[in-house]
Amino acid sequence: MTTMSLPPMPPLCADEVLDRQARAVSELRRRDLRGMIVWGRGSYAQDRNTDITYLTNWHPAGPCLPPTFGRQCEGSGHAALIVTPDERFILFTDDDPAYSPDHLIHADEVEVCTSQSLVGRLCEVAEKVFAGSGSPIMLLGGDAMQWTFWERLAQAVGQGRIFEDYMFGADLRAVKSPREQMLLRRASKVGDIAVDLVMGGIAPGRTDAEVSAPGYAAAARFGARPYLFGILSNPASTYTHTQPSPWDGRRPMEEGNLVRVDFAGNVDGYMLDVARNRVVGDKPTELQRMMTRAACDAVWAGVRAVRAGVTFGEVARSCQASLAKSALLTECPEITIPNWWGHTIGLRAEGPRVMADSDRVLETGMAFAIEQGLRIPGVGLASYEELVIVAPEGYELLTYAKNWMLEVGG
Amino acid sequence: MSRLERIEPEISLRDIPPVPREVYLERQARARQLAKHKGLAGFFCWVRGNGTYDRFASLMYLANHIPVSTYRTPDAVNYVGHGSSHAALWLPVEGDVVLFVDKPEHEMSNHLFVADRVVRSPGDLLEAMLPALDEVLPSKGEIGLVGSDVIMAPWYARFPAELRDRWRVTEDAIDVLQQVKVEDELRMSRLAASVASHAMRAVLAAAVPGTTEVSAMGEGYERIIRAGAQIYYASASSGPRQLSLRPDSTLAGTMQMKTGDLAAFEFEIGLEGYVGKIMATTCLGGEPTAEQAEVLAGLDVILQAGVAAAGPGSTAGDIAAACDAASTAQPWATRADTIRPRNWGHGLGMGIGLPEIVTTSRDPLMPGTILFLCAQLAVPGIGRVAKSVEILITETGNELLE
Repeated sequence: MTTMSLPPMPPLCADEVLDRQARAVSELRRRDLRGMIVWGRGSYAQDRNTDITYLTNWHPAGPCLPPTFGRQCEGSGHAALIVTPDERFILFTDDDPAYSPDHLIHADEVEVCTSQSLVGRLCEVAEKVFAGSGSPIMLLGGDAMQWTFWERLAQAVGQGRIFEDYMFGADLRAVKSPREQMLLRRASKVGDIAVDLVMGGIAPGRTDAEVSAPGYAAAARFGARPYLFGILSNPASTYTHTQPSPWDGRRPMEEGNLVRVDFAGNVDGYMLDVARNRVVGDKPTELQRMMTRAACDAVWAGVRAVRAGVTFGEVARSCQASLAKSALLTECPEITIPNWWGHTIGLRAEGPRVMADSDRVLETGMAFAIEQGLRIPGVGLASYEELVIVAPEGYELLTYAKNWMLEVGG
Repeated sequence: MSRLERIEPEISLRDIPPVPREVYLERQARARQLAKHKGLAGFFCWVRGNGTYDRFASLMYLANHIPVSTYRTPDAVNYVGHGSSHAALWLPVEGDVVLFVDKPEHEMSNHLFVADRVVRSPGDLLEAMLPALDEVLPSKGEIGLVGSDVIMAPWYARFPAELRDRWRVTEDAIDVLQQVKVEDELRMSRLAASVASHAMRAVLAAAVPGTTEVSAMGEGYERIIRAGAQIYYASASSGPRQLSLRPDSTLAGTMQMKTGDLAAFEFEIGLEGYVGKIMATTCLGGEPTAEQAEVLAGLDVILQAGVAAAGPGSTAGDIAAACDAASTAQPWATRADTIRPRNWGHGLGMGIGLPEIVTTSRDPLMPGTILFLCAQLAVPGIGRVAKSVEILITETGNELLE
């Protein structure tokens, strides 16, 4: 059992959340909007709670129960937030926050609903709050809102008034506070430990599942919630995950298989995300060596380009240039040079993204992943990923997991 | 090697054959018959994968597919709801079964779908799906919609209005088909139950004062994943401060457990889609107090009453009534501040489903049905307590799975 512990984190202070709320309201005013509705789904992987968590420090943790359980469960595992024209933050949840004594919620009002009444109460309050004006209402989290709820909400506030801005929340969160940066460093440390454990356990005869277990469990013991634990050793597959589980529990690894691990999750809500490769037996073929080297070098070309004032596009184009001149591309010119090279990290993976055509400027305190996966059918998948925070002078690297291909067999 | 590993043999998928293709084809045939019986042109099943409380069951059941790709958040330029980590199936009364997946062919090469035709999307699920649907759907007749609750607003808006007008929500249709398991399915369900039990025993052995809840849970995670299973939901709660049946799984769990407290743990796992689920409670570092022991013993009495009522021909309502009666006899049942769940459990298969164990459930239980029966509550001064059993209804009575 891993016994290492992480340094304790100071609790989230009210001022930080109030600052987020103030910035949200300020942005609404700048856009001449009088309020917004935020919708969130919780309960583990694929959560879409980020907007609500960021603005209130509340995470809906109950399960999203299927509709076969009846209408009394329809809102289970969800939460909503209304930001009113007079800057009130009204949180709706189907779980009583009073039962989570360590959980400090920042909202002017908290409406504890039943699962069945959640959507209805949201609609009633929204109708009242946004009455008397035909002005548009911004909705965050609409992609996590089932269409029947959307129709009820649209009916309550007036058809055609709801619109979405998918970047509003991401823009608000793009620059991380010093505390958020500490949380990202802690989370990355857990990711490094987990991935090193997994990669160290790779051996012929073991299944992907057997190799994954110690790393996953070690991360969980630090309080991490893994979102994605993509391990792939089967050269017949270039899919990023196996089916129907993320790890193959049947097929034993064979000498010479290229293994890729991409681990994403969160610790105290903040993301870890790291990808590495290793060849079973540590005797890579020339092609495997070229693939992993090309992915690593391209990512690092991007990392070295990171500094405040450059654009995400410039970072991505540095990656592209490295890949273009790699030995792999000479050997396999049919490989397409990707446009996409990573994503912002924080409470989730999101934008701004590291895209070659992005003109978004990097600011000190932004944190993001630079990553790439190169697939060759019959050979496998080589992935490499690093996390960085934009520092006043350059970058701060968050990921220190061992590069097995360079240090052992590359 | 831990003491537990020396005692318990490793559970693994390695020697367990997967559910054969013939079983999927037989399921499709039954689904076609059901659609015909309901006067539908077929079923359109929409699913979400890659996460806890996934809603993949209908596609996994009918076509051996769970969408496992990462969900992409909708903040990319020109986002219109591209549908990553979602999939759909058109299963007509007559004609080809068509599967719509969110990955191109080269990324799905290792997986055996059971469908006559697979429409693959390189980026936007609906962009590839809508023209194909236009081609394969019959021109008239109602279409049974399964998974309506995981069609999110942006995707719904992209389906043509004339198609949406033909949808009839039939949420429980495939769920009902899944209730009675054949031997190939029971083999997977039994193994899933074994993995969950094995993991829970490891957690209970590791749950000692001074360790954290997540540290004990880690012992269970390790065994679950090593077996090839996936964790859908996990929770831990210890001490009297925890007064919710839904511990905050984001932030809780890193505090140290204390001597004399009760600690409750829960796992819901998936083994190639088949769910195993377990809840258990232990007293940390010694014997429970009289009050704790009384509550824990009460849970056993409730479960025993429920198990005794479970058999072929009885209903989930009968089981719920038996649990209600046993519960009423418990001293804590009269306390107004005790928090109880709304049901005593539910069916298990590829997810949690029918029948729900509530007194209003009236359909007779058939042999081959698996139930998750749980007794859980939160009592001020004690905290959360929970225990469970998995029950397989047999021809002659029931069998507890572990």
